[in-house]
Amino acid sequence: MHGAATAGHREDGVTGPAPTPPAALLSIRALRVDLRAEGELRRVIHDVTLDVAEGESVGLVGESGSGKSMTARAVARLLPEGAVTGGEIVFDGEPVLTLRGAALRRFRRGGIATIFQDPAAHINPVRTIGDHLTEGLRLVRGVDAREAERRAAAMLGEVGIAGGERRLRQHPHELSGGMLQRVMIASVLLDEPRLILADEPTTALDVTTQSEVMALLSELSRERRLAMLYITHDLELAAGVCDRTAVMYAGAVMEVQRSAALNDGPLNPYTAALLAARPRVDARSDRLEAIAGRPRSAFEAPEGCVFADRCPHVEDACVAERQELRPLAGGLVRCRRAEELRGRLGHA
Amino acid sequence: MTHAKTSFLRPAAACLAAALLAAAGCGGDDDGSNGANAADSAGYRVELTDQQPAATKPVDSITWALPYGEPVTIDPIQAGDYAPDFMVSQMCDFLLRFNPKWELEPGLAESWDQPDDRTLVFKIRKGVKFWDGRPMTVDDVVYSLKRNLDEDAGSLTAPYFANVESMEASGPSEVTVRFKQPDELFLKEMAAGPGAVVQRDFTEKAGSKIGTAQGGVMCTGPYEFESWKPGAEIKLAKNDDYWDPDLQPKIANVTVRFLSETTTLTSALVSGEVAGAYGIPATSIPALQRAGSGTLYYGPSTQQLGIYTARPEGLMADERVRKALSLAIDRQAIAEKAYSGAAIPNEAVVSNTREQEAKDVYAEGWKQLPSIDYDLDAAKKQLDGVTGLDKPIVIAAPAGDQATLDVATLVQNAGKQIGLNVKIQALQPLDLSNFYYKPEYRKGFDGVLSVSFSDHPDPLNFLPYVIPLDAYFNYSGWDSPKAVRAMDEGRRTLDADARAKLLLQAIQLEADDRVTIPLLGLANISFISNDIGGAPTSFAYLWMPDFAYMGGK
Amino acid sequence: MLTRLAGLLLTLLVASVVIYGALYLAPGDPSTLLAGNKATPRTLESIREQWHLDDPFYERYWAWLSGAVRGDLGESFTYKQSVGSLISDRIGTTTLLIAYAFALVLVGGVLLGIVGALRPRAGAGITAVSSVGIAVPSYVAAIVLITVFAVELGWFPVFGDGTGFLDRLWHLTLPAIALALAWNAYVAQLTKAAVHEESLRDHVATARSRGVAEGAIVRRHIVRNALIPITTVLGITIAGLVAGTVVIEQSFNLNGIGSLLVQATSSKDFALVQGISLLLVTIFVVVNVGVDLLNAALDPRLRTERRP
Ligand SMILES: Nc1ncnc2c1ncn2[C@@H]1O[C@H](COP(=O)(O)OP(=O)(O)O)[C@@H](O)[C@H]1O
Ligand SMILES: [Mg+2]
Repeated sequence: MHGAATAGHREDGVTGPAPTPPAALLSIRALRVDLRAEGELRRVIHDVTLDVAEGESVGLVGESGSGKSMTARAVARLLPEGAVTGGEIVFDGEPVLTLRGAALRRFRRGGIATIFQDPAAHINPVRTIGDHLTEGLRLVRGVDAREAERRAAAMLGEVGIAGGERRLRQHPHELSGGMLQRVMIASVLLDEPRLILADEPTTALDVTTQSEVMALLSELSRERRLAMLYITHDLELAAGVCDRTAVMYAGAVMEVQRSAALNDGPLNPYTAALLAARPRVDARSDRLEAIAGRPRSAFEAPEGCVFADRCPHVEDACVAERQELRPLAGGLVRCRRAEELRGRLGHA
Repeated sequence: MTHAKTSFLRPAAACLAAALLAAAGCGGDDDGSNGANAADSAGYRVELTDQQPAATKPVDSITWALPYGEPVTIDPIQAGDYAPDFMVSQMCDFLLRFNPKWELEPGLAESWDQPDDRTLVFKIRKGVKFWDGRPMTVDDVVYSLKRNLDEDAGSLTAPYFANVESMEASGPSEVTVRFKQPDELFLKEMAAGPGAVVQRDFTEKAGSKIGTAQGGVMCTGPYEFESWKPGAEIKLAKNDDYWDPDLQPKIANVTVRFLSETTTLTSALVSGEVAGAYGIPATSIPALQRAGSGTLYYGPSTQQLGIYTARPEGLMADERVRKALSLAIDRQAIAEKAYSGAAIPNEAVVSNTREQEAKDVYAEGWKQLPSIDYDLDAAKKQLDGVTGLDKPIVIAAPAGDQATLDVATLVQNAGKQIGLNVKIQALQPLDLSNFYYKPEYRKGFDGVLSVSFSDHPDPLNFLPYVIPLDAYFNYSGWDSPKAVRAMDEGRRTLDADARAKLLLQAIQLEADDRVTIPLLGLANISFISNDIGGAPTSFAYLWMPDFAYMGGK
Repeated sequence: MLTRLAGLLLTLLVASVVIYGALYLAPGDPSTLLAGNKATPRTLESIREQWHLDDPFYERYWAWLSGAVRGDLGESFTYKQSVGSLISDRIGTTTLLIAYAFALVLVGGVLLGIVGALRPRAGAGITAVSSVGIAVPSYVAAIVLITVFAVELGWFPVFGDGTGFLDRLWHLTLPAIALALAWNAYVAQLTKAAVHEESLRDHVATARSRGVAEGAIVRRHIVRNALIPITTVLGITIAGLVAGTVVIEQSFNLNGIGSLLVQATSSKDFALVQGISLLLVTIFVVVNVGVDLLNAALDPRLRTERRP
């Protein structure tokens, strides 16, 4: 179903030294994804390269449509039907994109769990909270029902939901969005993963709940030493939670740095623009008003540098050739003029 | 096997038209020579048969189909349509009996006598028992005859008794009927529903339930009423004690199934699931001709199709318009197209059955009737000077009867040829029955296309429904005292030839004015399984104990 | 439940007035049909008197209603038999026909729909076949089925309802197929759409990401959730099957409620039309309530209001 990975390893400039720790739990190399839309293939990811080490939390930041969710879905093997992939994803030493049948099921059982943006949609509305929480334990790990319920009730307590036993009998529509996201977190933790893919876990929640849930998630994952790929359009939020942050635009990773370094010294003009357009409390938006034009998806991005048509520093050469991700200053960057512009970028 | 071979006179032109349509049919039929051996089948393209060869093997059970649907009653005095008439005939004996040629034979009356022209004496058969074992008495006979007068009990047959002065037992097995004036019709009706004998006790006890599914009837006939599942079927069982040694029933059990859906009926006949049916819709002829399960029979019949004028006003109230439309219709073509040849052009308001007394008189009289030959020039000439021809002529037709509707369309086309705007409106049974009875339901209609039948070929049976000013089918206000006198005189005239002459006068007067537009005489169409023989196939079947004649081959 | 019962009674009362009134106002004097051909005016008059055909509307309706509340639905004047017994004699055939057809719809519609949604290659074929199924009117289906399976092959009878359970099933097979055909197709398409839609839900992806086996996902998340729209469709289907018996019973000459209604309506048989119509109204209301209850059982979101 998923197209055979055509591209092999891309050696150029990707396997540099730092900041990638040697034993990456998850390693994404030159990922490419084409989706079938209206009968034709459409590129939604054209070059994502990213590692997540054991116990590490990595932020993946970008505007809406840049391909963050598709990246996560590719990792979890949840791409829509008919998707064609290229490049490589390795989890715990095993290539993920080529898994099929029993191996795929085994892969899904172990190690990776996903927290989605909209918990109300991702929890079956007609089944009980208890069903949702214990489903993994009972159906995948063969834990008996009573034991599974006990663990589920206890886990509800850990994520801050009181009255666990009673909650197990309730249905999703009887809980608030924040509660549901806590339930989602609880269900993920019950499955004892090694990596959590958190795809905008708080975007759908109101501001106060947002920070509570975020705090809970990072605390619990840190406690359990879980690796996390944290997806958000909020650069600041990512920087606050994650060890390292990757910035994505039009289906490509533009820059990866330690969170603190990225904030202070962005290497890519796009990152700088993102920082400049940082959402204020009063006007929440995931679009970068500060940058002219609207964000591009991978399939509509320019031939050369994907950001060329919106970049304030664009030169003819930028438009002419595709850019590769290359190491610079302990991070990775995709920009022809990175060295030249270094230090001149930064927030306004 | 008795073939209906009757001498028959036809205008040569019509015969030619028939010959063009189908090579078979007009063979030896030139100019009214008697044609005893000619396969003329009375002008039909199809061969006419009035009864199958006898078959005498016992049969366990058969299912028979009733294409007219469920009878509204099985009470003889309330029977006034195909289905009830047929059912009554299987169960109840009449004083007299018709054979397939409508000749009178003894029934429950072993003989009858006319000591003078106002007296009829019936000698009632002894030793006849009702199904419940009780003997039939003259009291039952007199009671049954008098029931005909009881219109409050729903009797449809009272008019046949209009001339009766008294009906009394004149001996332990003799009934005498006295008339105010001689009445030829009465005697013939004694071989149909009005002559049925029911058990007095049973009938009185049943009260208003008589003849219903729950009430049933108690008669002496060859088949006993067993059960009636409303909406589905009536079950009959053979009467082991039937009085007639020559007509002992051979089929032990008969289920009569109401199958008014034409496609279902046809399929059931083709598959052999039902053993046969009378009154097959003409539209089923092609399918049944190919069927291997049985044979289609065409029999002589009194059924005829015509257009009756619906009201005294409107275009069709104009004699010239009626004559024009009549001449514009190619009857021979319609007989072929709508009835697959099982019909012939008809010249008068009654059918020319040619199975009757006074044959030669009728044959001569028929020749005098105005031409019905297809003649567009003559038709157009009729319309000279007629104004308001742009108004539509609305003709009602029965919705369920496809062959009639086909005819309606052909009539419509005929009208178009001479500039008449004929519109057809199909009416559901309820609307149609209202149409017949009530002038307010005929408003907006100019005519009605209708199939009618007589109990027997004597025009006396049908003329009273068209000739008098207040007759059932006389909606046009046609008033001909001369015709009424001739008809009445005919009814009083017991000599067949003299009567025929009188009735022909009435027929001629009606035809001269084209009060109705006669279209076709219709053959009786039956389909009978290969296993069954002996069945009557002429339209006389309607009042005959048909199942008693049938047997296994 | 009590309010529902009151609702049903009110519906029946209103329906009875409307139906009786409509029949009363409809043109046509049934006495002429009842009398047969060529009856005398006197005969017609006595029929009209006997059946109170000339009484004013409220008198006749009241007579009917006061009988009805005592459980006496009156007497059919075409059959001269009580409406109750006419209906009860036929209800078995019609019920069995509908149950049979419904079973076919469950198998042929729901199962095919599910398979079609989950197996895209089978799905295309099912869509094509069911489009044809929907387009074929039931009386045409009846003719084709009779011609092929009763007349040509002789496997099934052409008409009638049979006696004894197995014989009746045998007799009702072709009618049930003809009756179910269009609904089969309709239900298959809607089931397929519903299941397909449910299979794309995010919570299905959640379950999949957790490694739940595909069979369990289909059962617990896809089909389970699709049952809600399917139940609604099946409710409509039952109503449609009931209405469809009118045509099918005639085509196969079955002695059931549907053919009786046609018969009664065409002869303006007041009591009989009224009795059957109210039975049908009751069935529709009960099916509706059944669907509501079932949906509430299937979808917790519909029952919150009544939770403390
Ligand atoms: N099912 C799909 N079929 C085709 N295109 C899709 C589908 N889902 C998302 N896309 C497209 O893929 C691109 C990346 O989407 P996504 O990964 O959801 O972006 P993000 O999560 O960064 O907002 C967008 O251009 C979006 O329009
Ligand atoms: Mg997203």
